[in-house]
Amino acid sequence: MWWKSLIFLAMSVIIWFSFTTPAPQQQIGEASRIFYYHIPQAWICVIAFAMSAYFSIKYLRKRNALNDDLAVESARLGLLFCILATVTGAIFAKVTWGAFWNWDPRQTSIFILLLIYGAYFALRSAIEDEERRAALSSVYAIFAFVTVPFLVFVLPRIVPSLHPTDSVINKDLKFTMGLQVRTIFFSSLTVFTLIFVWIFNILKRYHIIRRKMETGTI
Amino acid sequence: MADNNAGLVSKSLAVYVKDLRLELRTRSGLNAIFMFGITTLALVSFSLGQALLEPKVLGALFWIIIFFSAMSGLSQVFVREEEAQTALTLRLTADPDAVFWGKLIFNLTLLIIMAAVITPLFFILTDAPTAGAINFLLILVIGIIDLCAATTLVAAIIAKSSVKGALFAVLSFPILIPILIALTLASEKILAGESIGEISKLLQFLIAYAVIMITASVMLFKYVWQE
Amino acid sequence: MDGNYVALAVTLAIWIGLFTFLWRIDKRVNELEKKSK
Repeated sequence: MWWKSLIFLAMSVIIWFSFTTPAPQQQIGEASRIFYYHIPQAWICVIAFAMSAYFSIKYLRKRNALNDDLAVESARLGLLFCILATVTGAIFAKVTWGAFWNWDPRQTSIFILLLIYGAYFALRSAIEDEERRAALSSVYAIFAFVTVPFLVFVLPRIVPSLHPTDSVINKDLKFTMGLQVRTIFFSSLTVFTLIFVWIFNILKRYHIIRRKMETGTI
Repeated sequence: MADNNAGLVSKSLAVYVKDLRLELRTRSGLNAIFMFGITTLALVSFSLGQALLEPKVLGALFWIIIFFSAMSGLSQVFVREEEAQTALTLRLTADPDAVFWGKLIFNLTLLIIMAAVITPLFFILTDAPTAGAINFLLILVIGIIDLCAATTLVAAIIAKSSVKGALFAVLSFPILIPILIALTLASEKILAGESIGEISKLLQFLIAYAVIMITASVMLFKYVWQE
Repeated sequence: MDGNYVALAVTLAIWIGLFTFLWRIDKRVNELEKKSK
């Protein structure tokens, strides 16, 4: 339990420093601070998706209802962080480039992730039978996840200079990430991951209890 | 070992021929796809009138037409089985892999037939440049393969759900966006007169997508198909 | 610079709220676990 208090302290400290230290990217100014939050959110979103695909695979192998529960919860968390990432990204885009949305590769990718999550839950709500619902949505989660490497790695490379703005940002952050910025950023990344793990852990324990109570075993 | 492979090919062909025969008798799938393609094309042509379009717009419009036609017609290959209640028999008698390959090739056939008609019409009605015709056809064929690679499994997934049609598009679209982007981009470049070397990276991407998605579909299909 | 402090305060407030919420749920699940033992 103690590590949860540590999370509280760590996050509070990070928030404090994220606003009181110099802005990470001088050309963009104050708005660049959002990167301390935006990138970890996008990162967690993808991790959650991977976890959902992982539990989906486990479900298809062993038909253990708990695995399906965990796949769904990962997807729910993933959707939450995806929405957060999209919103913070759009705010940043508005402040720096003037438009909330401009379809550059990264924005397109996060949009696709949103659609995939939406499709996953739409599919689940359209199937009555529990086992079929679990099996079919597991297949979809895995199938959709297969496209993610294309999205994240290949697409940004083959779609030519649509908007140099994003690559400028990333390149710049990598180049000019001084020690201070780097510390805050990676700490934020770590703490966000820990928060995600904590939430997931709570949900997992809840589902274990629930399954136990329903069937007597897990 | 070789026996097994030959078995799969002939079994898949059997599934394919069965669906083809049924289709030739009722023409339901072809009708849906054609009507959608022709209507969309007509609408596009009508609204644009005499306006000359730049390659970017032409590329996008073309693939919009193909994509939505695919959405209207590619799900019925499985939905029809469920509705006619022949699915159970198929499950009992055929090897799941054969079912998948047969249905995949069937969908390919549908799209190719549709494209064979719509593409010339598209070029005629929009007065699009035909310089890189062969390259354009290459992109078209790969694109059709990609579309079917991704949507056949999805069609199987939604066949037993409640809101089939809408769900098919909802599930397919996110998975298809990467290739739709690549296809539109490649078409735009070809229509603009660029050589095939310019789009080699896009082609590699499209081919890789087809290979990976078909492989994943084959591995996942039995979980969808079996009760 | 003032805007920064507002953002800081808001973010901290959100975080404190979120953390309290999670802490409470965690406790509840703990109790549930003990009950079902």
